[in-house]
Amino acid sequence: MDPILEIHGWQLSADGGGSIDLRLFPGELLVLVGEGQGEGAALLRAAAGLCRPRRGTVRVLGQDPAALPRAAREALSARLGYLPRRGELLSNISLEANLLLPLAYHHRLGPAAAALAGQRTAARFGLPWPLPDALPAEVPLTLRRRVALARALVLEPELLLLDDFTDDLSRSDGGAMADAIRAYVVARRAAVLAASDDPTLADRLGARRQTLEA
Amino acid sequence: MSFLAAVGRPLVAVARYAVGLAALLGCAIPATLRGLGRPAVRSVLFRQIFFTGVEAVPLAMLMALAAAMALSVLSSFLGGVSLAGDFLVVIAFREIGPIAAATIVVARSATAVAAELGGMRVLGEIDGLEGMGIDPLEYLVAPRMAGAAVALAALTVFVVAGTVAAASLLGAMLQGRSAAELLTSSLRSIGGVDLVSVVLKGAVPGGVVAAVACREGLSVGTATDVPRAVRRAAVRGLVGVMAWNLLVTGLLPRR
Repeated sequence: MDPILEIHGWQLSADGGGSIDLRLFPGELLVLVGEGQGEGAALLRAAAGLCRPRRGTVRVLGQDPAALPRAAREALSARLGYLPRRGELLSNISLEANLLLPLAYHHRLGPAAAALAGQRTAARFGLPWPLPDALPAEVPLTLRRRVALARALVLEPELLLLDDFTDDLSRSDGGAMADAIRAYVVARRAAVLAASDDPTLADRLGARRQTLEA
Repeated sequence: MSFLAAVGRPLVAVARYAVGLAALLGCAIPATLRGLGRPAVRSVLFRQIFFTGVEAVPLAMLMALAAAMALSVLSSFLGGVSLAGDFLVVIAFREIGPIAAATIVVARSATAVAAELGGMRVLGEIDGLEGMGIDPLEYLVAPRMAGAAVALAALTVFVVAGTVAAASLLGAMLQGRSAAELLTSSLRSIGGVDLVSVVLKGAVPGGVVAAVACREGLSVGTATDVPRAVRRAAVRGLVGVMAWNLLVTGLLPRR
């Protein structure tokens, strides 16, 4: 079985120091924790194709995302779900438009077809439908984060990249999101790579844990 | 600093900025064509046309009325109806109409676009978009440029037509002539060069003004950079509009 994500020789600090290797197969969950948590976020960004590693290689679904031409990178990104710590939703469009954006962009679905697919995703993650007709800044953080997670999963990605998604959430809200992610992984046989400074997140997700120490 | 350096540095900076802007425009054209096939991008395009064009109509009417007042007073000093018509057309079509419409777009839309994109950059939303595989050039920049270009072209036609109609009406009141007579005289005075002037001055600056606003907005690093980006978008947009108007006026033949 081919790994979904393969990282080799990722350098943990700019001034040399240790490096890590990791492989993630379908159905696996891995949480990166430890003092190098900023490195975890950088690693997620590299896997999402947003930056190149200082040293080493990152291969996602057999490809180097940062080296791909535009169209191929776009196709690869449609197979990933990325939930950043900041800017998880676009602030200038409604919650519903945010949720439907990947469908309207990547799958070129019109409003009616996108709404139908969005409704199915919302039901799967326990979100109300229709979503409140509001901008992200007008709703509580918990709802915002849940919509962001639903958006990351709306295209049914094979790899989910999560940057500290329980940050600032209550334990029960974070737990509910972890449950939704676990259920998705079981149903889709997807892989999850998360970075977090919460040492209990790996247990809540039922994930492996890897400590990042420079 | 030597005289050469004092003169050369700003010129090099302007040239660099112009090259960057030209590169952005060059990339935005294929991105617009690609984006037209995506409902998500079309929706941004239509919103931009609505915001920049339709929502600006009341202000455009006000500008047209203000311009018409000035022109009708000035034309009352001219003798014949034919001369007054010529005067109205030349000023409204070639100068006041395009500049008024472009000023509205810079004041309302370029500033809004710079602030919006600057805020998105600061909040990390641009990275979030790229992480989803959505090209910011295709989703954010290209539809704003295309939308502003379409909206400014339409607004220019609206302001020009409104100015000529209102100036004919006001001029008739001031001069005791028939409004229909003055309007007919104005319409007869419209020449090919006047139409070319409206097309060049109306269609081109919209995309450029939006490109300047997008470039300034996306260059923001921190929250304190946002107001500066807005100011630069307004000032550089206006300078670009004035320069383009001067160039077109200078190149087009006179009557």
